[in-house]
Amino acid sequence: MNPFDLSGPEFLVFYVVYIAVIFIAAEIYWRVRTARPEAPLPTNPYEIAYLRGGAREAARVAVMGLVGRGIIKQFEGRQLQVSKERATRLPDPFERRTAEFFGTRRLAGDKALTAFVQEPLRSLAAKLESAGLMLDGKLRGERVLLTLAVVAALWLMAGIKIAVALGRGRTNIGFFILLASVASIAAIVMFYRTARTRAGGRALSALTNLNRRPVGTGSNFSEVMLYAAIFGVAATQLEANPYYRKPNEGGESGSGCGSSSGDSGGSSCGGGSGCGGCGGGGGD
Amino acid sequence: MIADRFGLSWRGELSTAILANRARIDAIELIADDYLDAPATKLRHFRALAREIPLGLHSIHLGLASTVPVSSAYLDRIARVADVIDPASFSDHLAFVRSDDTEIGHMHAPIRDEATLDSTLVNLARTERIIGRKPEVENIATLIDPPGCAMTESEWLAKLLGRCENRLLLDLHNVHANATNFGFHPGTFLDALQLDRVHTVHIAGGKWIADDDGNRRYLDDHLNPVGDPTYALLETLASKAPNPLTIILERDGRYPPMRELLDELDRARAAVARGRAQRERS
Repeated sequence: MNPFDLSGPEFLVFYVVYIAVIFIAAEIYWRVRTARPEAPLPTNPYEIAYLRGGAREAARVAVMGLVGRGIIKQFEGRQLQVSKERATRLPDPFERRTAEFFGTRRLAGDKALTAFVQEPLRSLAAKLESAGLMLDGKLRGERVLLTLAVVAALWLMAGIKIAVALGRGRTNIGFFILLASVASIAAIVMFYRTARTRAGGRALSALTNLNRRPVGTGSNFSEVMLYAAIFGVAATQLEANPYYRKPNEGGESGSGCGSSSGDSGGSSCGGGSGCGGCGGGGGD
Repeated sequence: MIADRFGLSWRGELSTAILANRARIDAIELIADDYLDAPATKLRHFRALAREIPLGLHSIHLGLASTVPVSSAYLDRIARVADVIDPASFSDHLAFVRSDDTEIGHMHAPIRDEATLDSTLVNLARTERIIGRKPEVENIATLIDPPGCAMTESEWLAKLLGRCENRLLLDLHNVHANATNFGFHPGTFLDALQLDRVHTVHIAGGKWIADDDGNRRYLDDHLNPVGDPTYALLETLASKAPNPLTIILERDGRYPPMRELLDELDRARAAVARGRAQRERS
């Protein structure tokens, strides 16, 4: 059977099956390629948050941690205070940089914060990459090639059929081109939806399943941090979370927290409705 | 220096706290029975955990110390869990839990005689054959001393260990509870056992209860903090046991904040350190 001799509707059915086969084969290849059965289970909250939601989630958890320990405090209206002395003593470079951000910037938001903490975030990401939980440079390169291969396979078949159709004087190929285009976009989305490897996805799934009980008032700081890292700051049962502060407590309505006071510089941070302004809200 | 480990029994209520306090928890123990019907995906999560922290798999319904054979169906289900999780160790109790096809719902102390001893050895061999691991065997607590026993508990245990190569999971709170209820000296009990076969230890808490006649009994309930007598026994054991010990704190309910459980683990560490120091001096 020559598929290019199929009628238009028949070829469309054939092409849909072809797309499915290509996608399944590519997905299986990618899963096998990025599986690492002996990959570790991360326990550092920032690594977990980064694995789950990238820089923004890691930053949110960091802000919650800083608020919880009183390094960022005094939410009054749009005011906040950063204890510079305590911030400079923080052993974790990511936390130190996050605190520094709130001590030096006046205008901020999730994007500005994550841009500011890029350097420590890079080392966080490097650890996850070397553990096989996130795509490293080599795998990112392979992902590009795989995506190109899938798109090329889709358009090779489509191109031949289009050429055959045009050669036979047919011009009703609009829907077919649309289908091939949608499939190509879907392929890109499929492979670029996450920077996690399969091992990373499994590690996150394990952490999610192993930690089913919400933290509450009896939980200590490290428990709340871990829970926030796995499920998002907003999932930590905010009212029962002893480390939660409403960013606009006692002040104006709306989101964000404002400029500095006290022994430090300060910042405003847009968005967020939970713990620590920029760190708040979210979840997933 | 002997590298002893101190850990907790894994409970859903404590899961986040355990993972968040990994720096102070060296080992965990998982109750296999809680996951007999769990999908392989869920079990694989525990396998990932077992790669990070030594994980002991503990079952409660084998009924090893019985003239009734261990249930094949139950063994198969435990084997499935063990195969996926790949634990560092596997253990169950020297208890009587079923009569033919009737599950009695809890663990009874076996009649300590030769017949039970022989059957226990058969059950141990069968369990090892099906699960692929030699089970550690745990002494149990009981409120009723079984009638018709030909041996004391320590004599029976020592005899069993002399006829097999299985390790003894020594539950010190069970020793304390039985010693309290039946009037023997727990130190003498330990002296009668082959302590070189002990690698895993359970500690737990209990409470006093009274029957209708006002007779008091000490109950191993796993709902209270570990008491001083158990820490004292742990110290004694550490002064005599030659192998690295994994000490598991069992808690089955009324969970306190994790810092209290960690404090109990610290007390266990201190007791073992004192015992090890005595051992080095002697």
